[in-house]
Amino acid sequence: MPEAPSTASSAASSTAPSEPRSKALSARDEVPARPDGPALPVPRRIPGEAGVWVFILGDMTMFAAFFGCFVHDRSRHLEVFAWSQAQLKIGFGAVNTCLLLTGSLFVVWAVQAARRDALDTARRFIALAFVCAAVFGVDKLIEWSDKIAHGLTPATNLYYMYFFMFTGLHAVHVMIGMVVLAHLWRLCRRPAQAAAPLSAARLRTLEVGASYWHLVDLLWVVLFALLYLMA
Amino acid sequence: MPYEADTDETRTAVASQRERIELNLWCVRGAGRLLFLLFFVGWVLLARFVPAPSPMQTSEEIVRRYQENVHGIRLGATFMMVSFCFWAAWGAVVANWTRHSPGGGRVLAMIQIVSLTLSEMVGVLCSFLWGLAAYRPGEISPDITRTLNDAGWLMFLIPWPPFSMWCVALAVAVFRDRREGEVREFPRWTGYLSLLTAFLFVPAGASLFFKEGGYAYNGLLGMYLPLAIFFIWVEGVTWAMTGKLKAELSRLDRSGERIADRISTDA
Repeated sequence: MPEAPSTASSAASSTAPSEPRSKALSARDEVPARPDGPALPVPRRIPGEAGVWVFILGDMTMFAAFFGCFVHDRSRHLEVFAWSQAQLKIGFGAVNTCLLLTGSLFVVWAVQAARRDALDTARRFIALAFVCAAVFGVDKLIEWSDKIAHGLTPATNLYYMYFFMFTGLHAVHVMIGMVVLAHLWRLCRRPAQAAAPLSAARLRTLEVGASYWHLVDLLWVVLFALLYLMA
Repeated sequence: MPYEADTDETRTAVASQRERIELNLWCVRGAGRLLFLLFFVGWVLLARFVPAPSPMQTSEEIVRRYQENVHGIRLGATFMMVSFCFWAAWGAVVANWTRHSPGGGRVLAMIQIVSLTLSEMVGVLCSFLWGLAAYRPGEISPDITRTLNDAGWLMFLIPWPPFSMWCVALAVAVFRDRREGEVREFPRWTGYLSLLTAFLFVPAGASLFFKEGGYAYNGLLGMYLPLAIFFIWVEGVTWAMTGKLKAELSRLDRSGERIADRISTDA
């Protein structure tokens, strides 16, 4: 297993002198070193590009409305929601939470590896994140089949309507995320000129994809708390 | 007098191009705003469809709602149909830009035109069905009025795929233009906004499956949010398109001044 960098912020602001860095990154992120003085502030930069945050914040706003509806209907049908929640097996949700969080970590490491121009390492981490997403899908399918086998469908009550709709829409996000990860994997192939680093445009696309993947992760964390844990 | 003929032709060409851009500007700004205004007047003020009737209401309750506002709903349906006409003018400018933009082309423009046509048809049909429900409320079986009401609302929401396809076609055209900075005609955020809109229309399709809760046809998630994001998208694209057309206009004015300078210098 390749070495894992310490934190996202440290990798964004500084790297070990021995590590090769892409020209694209050094042009944008280099902070002048002052050995005897205090560290200079890191210039502010939007991960990926501004446009993708229109998408991410818009999607999050829409999910916030979803959650608002859920909480509103829950307050009117407390008993139905409590009974329905008791039918869920928390293990499915917990495993999926671990899978998505781990996948997000792999994506962070992949971006950091790509910034260091360690493209093979980046591809390996992206592949691992893809595996996490695929296992998430399998886990979700087993959970859905189990519920349907026990006669719990979207038509059962309001809780299960929200359960299937929210987890279904989230599963669509995961599937799109898997397509995005596959694209990032292709993107991290060594360019034709063997010594050339990843271009600034490719690095930006990598960050855009990674930001989307974190959105998928974040939405699930809130969904998990709302559907499985809210007493 | 070949030189004078040339300058006359150039001036005529500049003037006609200016008129073309101004027409585009009027269509995208005027028609975009009229679409919103007429729809709002028809749907909210005249038909009083906010709050929307619930799918859980009985036939008698639905008939009473239509009887109490029969003229408002008929007039509202007419306003909505008119509003959708302006939509064609707005969509035509966007499709035309897609046709000629570096990232667009004929195929993407045609996808937009077909999707726009289908979307227009959906808009006109749902207004028609609401108007039809308000044609004989109380004179015919209440179940028929309720079915027509259901048909109007479901027609309004279920056919989301052509809307989404339209947005995706625009997003593809925006993202395929790989130029950076000032030379870009359309900012990349419009591509992301279009993708978001395409995605957020999807829950509207759920209204076919549920009669209560957020996904019903009177619910926040099934109806109000997809409708809101549609108008946000129209406004966002209008804003970007207006900026692009104004830049084109000022570029044209500058080149027109250069021509005028050349003529006066030569004279």
